[in-house]
Amino acid sequence: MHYDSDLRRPRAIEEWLDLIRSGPLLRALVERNIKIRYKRSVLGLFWSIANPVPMLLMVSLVLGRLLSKYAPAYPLFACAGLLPWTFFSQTTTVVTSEVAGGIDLWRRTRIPKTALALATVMTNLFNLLMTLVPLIGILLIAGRPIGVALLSLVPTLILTSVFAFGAALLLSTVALAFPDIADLYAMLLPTLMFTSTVIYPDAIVPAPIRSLLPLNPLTTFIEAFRAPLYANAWPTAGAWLVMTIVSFVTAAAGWLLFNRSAHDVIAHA
Amino acid sequence: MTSLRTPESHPERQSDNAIVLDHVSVRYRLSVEPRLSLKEAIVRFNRRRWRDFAALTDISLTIRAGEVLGIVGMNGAGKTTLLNLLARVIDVSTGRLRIRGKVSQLIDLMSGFHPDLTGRENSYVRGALLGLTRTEMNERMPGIEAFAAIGEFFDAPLRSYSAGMILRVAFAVATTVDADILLIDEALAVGDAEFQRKCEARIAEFRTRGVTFVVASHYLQQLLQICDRVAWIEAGRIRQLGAPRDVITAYIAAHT
Repeated sequence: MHYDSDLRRPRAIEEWLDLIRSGPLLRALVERNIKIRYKRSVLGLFWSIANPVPMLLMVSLVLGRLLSKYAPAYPLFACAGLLPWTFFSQTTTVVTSEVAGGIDLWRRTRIPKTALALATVMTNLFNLLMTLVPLIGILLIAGRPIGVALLSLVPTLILTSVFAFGAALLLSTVALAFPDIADLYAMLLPTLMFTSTVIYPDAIVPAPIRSLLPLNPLTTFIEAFRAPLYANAWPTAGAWLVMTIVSFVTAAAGWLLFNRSAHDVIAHA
Repeated sequence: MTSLRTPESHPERQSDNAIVLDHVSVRYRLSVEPRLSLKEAIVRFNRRRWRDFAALTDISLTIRAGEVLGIVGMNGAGKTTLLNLLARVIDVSTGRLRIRGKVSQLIDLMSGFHPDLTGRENSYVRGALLGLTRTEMNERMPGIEAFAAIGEFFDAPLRSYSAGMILRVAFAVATTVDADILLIDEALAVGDAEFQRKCEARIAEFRTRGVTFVVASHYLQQLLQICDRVAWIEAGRIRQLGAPRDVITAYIAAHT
């Protein structure tokens, strides 16, 4: 291995080359994350899988009957929305608060600075997949129609992960300069949740406001996730287009901005 | 540790330069105010004020392959910055840095360790941070376990370890890496006398393989024993570079 500081490439490119060579590191970090969660509590891994359950019970009890006219089998409807929501909100929250807290490893070891964020995305994706198994079981037992449309979850989850990774990097970029963004983001999360169709169908929203719902990009991702599980349907072509554009633009912006400022961070020590 | 002073045993590597620093400077941006919150920034509508801090200034230094270079200096003089630079944790601001060979660091043995995971599990993470693959770690794990020699504790959570036991595991993992250049920051004095001897033996073994060492330390006696040359860093500049005895004598004279 030879290194010459005169032959450095732009940081956004160097970081990418470093990251794609970090397979073993990512694997070790994801394994570590899962093990830590598993060991920390009696409930173990079940704990992170069970994360959406209290919210699910609550909205089902409070809103279930009210909304059943628009969304029959409301608990399943809500569950199919809460899973991607939990994935997105947990990923972005964990990454942002890690960066806000100052990442010790960055100062001490040479690792790609985006590796920890990517490992968090992958850990939460693993948890989501683990939650998906019992959900699909319940759908089968309940006799809901499900079929090949489930295959659409693969690209949907990939795009959602890219989006969450990009959003996490954007928030982290702010957190590098202003650590209290982590608290501010926690405050904003409920707004993000209630302005997208996580726990209610868009049919209940008055028409003029309904057309505003897609302004929250999460709406498209959540609807795409819900379509095969709840309605045995494929996401629309428009949804694919929106998800692809939103996720890759967010990821590109997050990547460029994060790499522009993350390398100064050691200086804050 | 006197056995380490055998650079002559590797004449073929003598001609190679492992590390070349050419007028290298590292500048940090330090915030004048300790930490500004977003709320304050919005309320006061001003930007964080920065001050340039020259951590290293105009360092020119050539380290030959197989050489043991010691670094002395007061706290804050730039020793750790220099090691971080060689580990490529930080970048040069100006100047040119060239490194030939794989670098590994015995800097801060603790980072990446988690109290809830066992010694074995932590070793895997630590190994990955040092750039080893899973397979490589599987191969080395028996050696790491044997070197750490903490018995059943190796499979118990790190929480239950004494400080000395954690260091044993950390050192065992850190020295399992095949490196051409090893960076050491105050890490040599670990564990009890017996483990200390094991560490010294392991370092001597690296030395006979022709590994280059850069050692920052306050243990002047130790540096005197192991180094081929010593660099004295003061306020981010090399104040003196030369034979260990000369530099350390001058360093002691300046600080008494």
